[in-house]
Amino acid sequence: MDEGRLIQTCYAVAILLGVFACAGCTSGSSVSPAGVTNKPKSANAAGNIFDNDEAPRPRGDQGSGASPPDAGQAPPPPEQEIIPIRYQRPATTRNYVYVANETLGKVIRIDPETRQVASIPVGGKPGEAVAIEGEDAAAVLNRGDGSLSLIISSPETDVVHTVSLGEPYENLALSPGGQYAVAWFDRSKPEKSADGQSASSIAANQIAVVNLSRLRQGGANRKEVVETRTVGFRATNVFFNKEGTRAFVVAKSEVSVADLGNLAAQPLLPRLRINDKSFEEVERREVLADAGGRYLYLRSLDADRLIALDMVNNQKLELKLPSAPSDLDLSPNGAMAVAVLRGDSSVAVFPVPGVFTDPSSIRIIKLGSAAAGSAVMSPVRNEALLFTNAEYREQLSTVNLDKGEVVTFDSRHGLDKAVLAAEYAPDGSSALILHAYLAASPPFTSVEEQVDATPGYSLFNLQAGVFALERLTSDVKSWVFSPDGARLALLIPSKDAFEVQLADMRSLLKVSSVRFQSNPEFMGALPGSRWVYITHKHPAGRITFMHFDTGEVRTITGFDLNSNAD
Amino acid sequence: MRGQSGQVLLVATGALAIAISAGAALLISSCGDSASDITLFPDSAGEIVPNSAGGSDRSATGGSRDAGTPAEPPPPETENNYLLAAPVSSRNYVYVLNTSLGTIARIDPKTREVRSIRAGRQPIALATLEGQDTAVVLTQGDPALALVMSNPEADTVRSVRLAEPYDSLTVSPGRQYAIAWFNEGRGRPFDANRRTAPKVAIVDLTLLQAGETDASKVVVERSVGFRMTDILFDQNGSRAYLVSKAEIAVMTLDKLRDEPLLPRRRIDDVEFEDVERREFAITPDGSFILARSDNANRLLWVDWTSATRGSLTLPSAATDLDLSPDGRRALVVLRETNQVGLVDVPAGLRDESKLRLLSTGGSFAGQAVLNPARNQAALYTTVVYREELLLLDLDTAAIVKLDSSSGLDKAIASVGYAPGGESLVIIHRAAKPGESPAVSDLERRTDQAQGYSLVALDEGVVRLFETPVAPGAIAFDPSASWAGVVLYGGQQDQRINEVHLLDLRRLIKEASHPMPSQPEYLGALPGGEWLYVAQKHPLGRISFIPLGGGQPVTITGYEINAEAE
Repeated sequence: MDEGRLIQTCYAVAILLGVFACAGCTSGSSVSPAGVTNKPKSANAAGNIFDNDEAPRPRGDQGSGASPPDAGQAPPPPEQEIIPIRYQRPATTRNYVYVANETLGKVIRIDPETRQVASIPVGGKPGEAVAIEGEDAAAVLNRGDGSLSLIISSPETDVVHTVSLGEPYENLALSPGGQYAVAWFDRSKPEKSADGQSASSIAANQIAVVNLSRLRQGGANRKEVVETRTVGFRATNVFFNKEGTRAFVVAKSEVSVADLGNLAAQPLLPRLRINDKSFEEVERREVLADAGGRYLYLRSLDADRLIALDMVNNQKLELKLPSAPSDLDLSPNGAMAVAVLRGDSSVAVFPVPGVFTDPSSIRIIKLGSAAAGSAVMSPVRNEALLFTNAEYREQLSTVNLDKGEVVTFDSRHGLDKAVLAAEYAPDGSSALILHAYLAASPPFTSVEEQVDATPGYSLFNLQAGVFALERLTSDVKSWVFSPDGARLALLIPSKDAFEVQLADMRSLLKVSSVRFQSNPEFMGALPGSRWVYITHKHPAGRITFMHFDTGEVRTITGFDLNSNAD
Repeated sequence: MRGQSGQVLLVATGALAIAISAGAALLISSCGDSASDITLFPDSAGEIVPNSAGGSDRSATGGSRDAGTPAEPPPPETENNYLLAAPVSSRNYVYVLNTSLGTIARIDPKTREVRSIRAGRQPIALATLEGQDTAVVLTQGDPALALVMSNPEADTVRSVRLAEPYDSLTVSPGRQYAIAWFNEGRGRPFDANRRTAPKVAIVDLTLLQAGETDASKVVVERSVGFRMTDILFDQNGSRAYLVSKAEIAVMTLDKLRDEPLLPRRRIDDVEFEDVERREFAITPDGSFILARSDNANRLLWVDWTSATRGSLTLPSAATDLDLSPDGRRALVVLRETNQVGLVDVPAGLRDESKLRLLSTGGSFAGQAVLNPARNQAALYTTVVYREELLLLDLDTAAIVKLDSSSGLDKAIASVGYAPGGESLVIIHRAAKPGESPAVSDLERRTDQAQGYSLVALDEGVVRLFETPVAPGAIAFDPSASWAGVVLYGGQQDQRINEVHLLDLRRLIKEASHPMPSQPEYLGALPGGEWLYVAQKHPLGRISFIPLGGGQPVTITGYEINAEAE
């Protein structure tokens, strides 16, 4: 699986749309970003979101500020969805955290309480581990040899069942309940295989469904455990119904529906056609599923409407919007959706799926002069952050989705760089703002010019409306909040070392910084503890733990052979 | 001039800086009589006359402009800090940064004994605590803040680590706190390699003095806005205002640990976000902060008591802002309209009719310097080549012009009052090609030369001294009878390196003393008998120049042992 990709069976990482009413916001005419040509960055096979020398930048030629589009102008570029490498990650079960270590060809099992580490052999080049609900078990896709391993752990031992899938699938999705796993090829980005070669010769238009229940019994042959089925051209998403009995494989122009317990009766999976050319440009669309897995929602930069696919009744529904949405997001409870209408400088908020039968329930909130193409939903309230990363714009807005109130921040509030991505802290009181930067080279003649052309992030206190900018020499690769949102750890690699910075979200201060030599692989937070872990690419296995509060660092090297705590 | 309260620091920038003895303070007192030798010259645009007290004359020469933004902001005046000095004298000693050695030199003015103190790697800023023999030192090599406590027997150094290599240091008026910060304000040349962060570290000096060196107990860090430019204090030092590009963070010093995030006040005015073209001042009680910008025809004010803000419309952008020491009057120089504005604080801030505008006639003034001892301001410009200095009586509004008729024969780079306010030192600037208005070759050469002038204010006499290189640091002795000026420059084989000793009563150069090494700091020892010149030397070198005549005494190698030369 492309390590930059979010697994849709987990949670919606890429945040998009916010809908907000313009009450007290700055007045002014609506603006649209000028057209640009750069494509959004995709994660490379090594799992990095970007290399230092090709970090994503918002279309730097434009400079800050936006201008209204001219007639006949090329359509605006898509917003960039920046997904931290941490989502590549660790599977968290009841008692353990599992992290794939591609270098070792193993999965590392971490005990969060004791920070003990065990190294579990699996197949070649394991990708990300996925937890199985309700038990200490995880599945991992081994891209090196095209197999899947199921790990079942107990305090005494780890039992591993591995089965060949026949192809080097890239992504893995687990059904709710953990009974089935679907291995597939993600073709949502430009077609490349895991090793960077053209993937056209690889069997991309198929999936492998693994019966994990049967696999764990042991002794089964491959045919008893694995079913291979053809799906549509360019699969982009896999969703499940909430019972975990059906899988929906979304491809360029159709959705294949797999009855997971009855695949034998489906040699060819039934399809629901999208039947809309405007939604076939996979790099310009987005697909979400509601929590129940009944409705799939599609938006496209090329269409001023939304499509809902009712996967129970096999129906396609449409909602007309004032303009093409540049982002779509669902509220945490799934009852509401927000669509950012970048071209109209507004946001639409509406109940789902109700709006498809009652279009009058849609609410349009004007943004005035604020530019927005992307939204990030608050995890705790009906609020969103709005910004655009399709152009260099030093601006961020918050919108109260209930009241429709918009507050816009810019350099007058200490926001002195454009926004690339944003994420709320878990408690919703603060946020991390990842900044974009312009493609300008030294020598610089002023502080502002240098600031605009170098990486950085800001810590943002929403209530006080205060930003604290931390300037960097290289891009942030990954980050993770402490569970209470009070602390933030950021992973910042450079040429020959990497740094972990700890920030306090209450005071908006960087409180410590540690440098390491080994290449980092994954970073995450150990559940139920105040520790961050960072796995390294190391021949003997290396993992570093860092305490959120004290900054204390402990490194274990050679856990593959024996544990040597540093 | 910048109206920043708190102790101003002597910063090791590698350039010459000036240390004025502790007695040099800028004050305003009652006006003196106008000199009989001063002539008022009518200008082609009209006579220079005092404006009637209490009234404003908006139709004065230069006219008025609509409030708002000037079509093009005028070029900023150049503020040269020749005469801005950091008091580095304590009760009994003078402390000097030695950047060559990375140490602090402690000088006993009575005996001229020099002791070298190591206070950390790469000391970059130095302050003293008034009334104590204690110096505060900021180091960058291993980021730390050190307290040097001196007595005749020994110097005790206590230091505490800082998280960042801060490069500026300010001590609160109450001397209880030192604030380490990154100064990104006006006048600092852009350095692409410079590392900064929007945060400050506040060090509790009382705790440090008592022996506590645990950073978690002694140091509190707080986030501030992007590009911090000023620290302003209220009079008793209980509250600090940390001014950044777009906001002001308010710090209540004894409640720091209760406020993880400092409250902010937005400046909320784009024209005032250009840090290179703005200036802030604070009233002594901290109730009002005023700001001017080259980009805006208004004076911005913030009233912390009522938590309100507003702006006063001006006829043109203010190119300089000064506050009287009692904070009751603000002076704004309105260069483009040839005016000076006097604003009563606070009443005049909210009532434009109370703005008192004084015409400078045809004279071009962009900067003001306040007389420390009289109610007077010296006005001049550095933007165009003008051989004139205006002396404004702040009470009567009378303006006296000094120009070539008075012996002022070169344009001005900087002006400094001697402590008693009776004399001035003017640092001149050399005319660039084509700038000199002189007709004769002699005068043109004079215009193109470097130099300085001494001015006896009461007599209105100006004495010009041409110099082979641009004058550097200047220091006054506490009695204001003497001044020293450093001259350093020129090509390697024709290097000029000397200190002129100037008699301010007779306006003569008493002596010209060659210095053995490149001067770093110049100051006057308390007691009124000596000037000192700290120089760059691997072993440490300081020269002492006797006021009133005599040869300098140089001490070399005080780092190892003292050798008087």
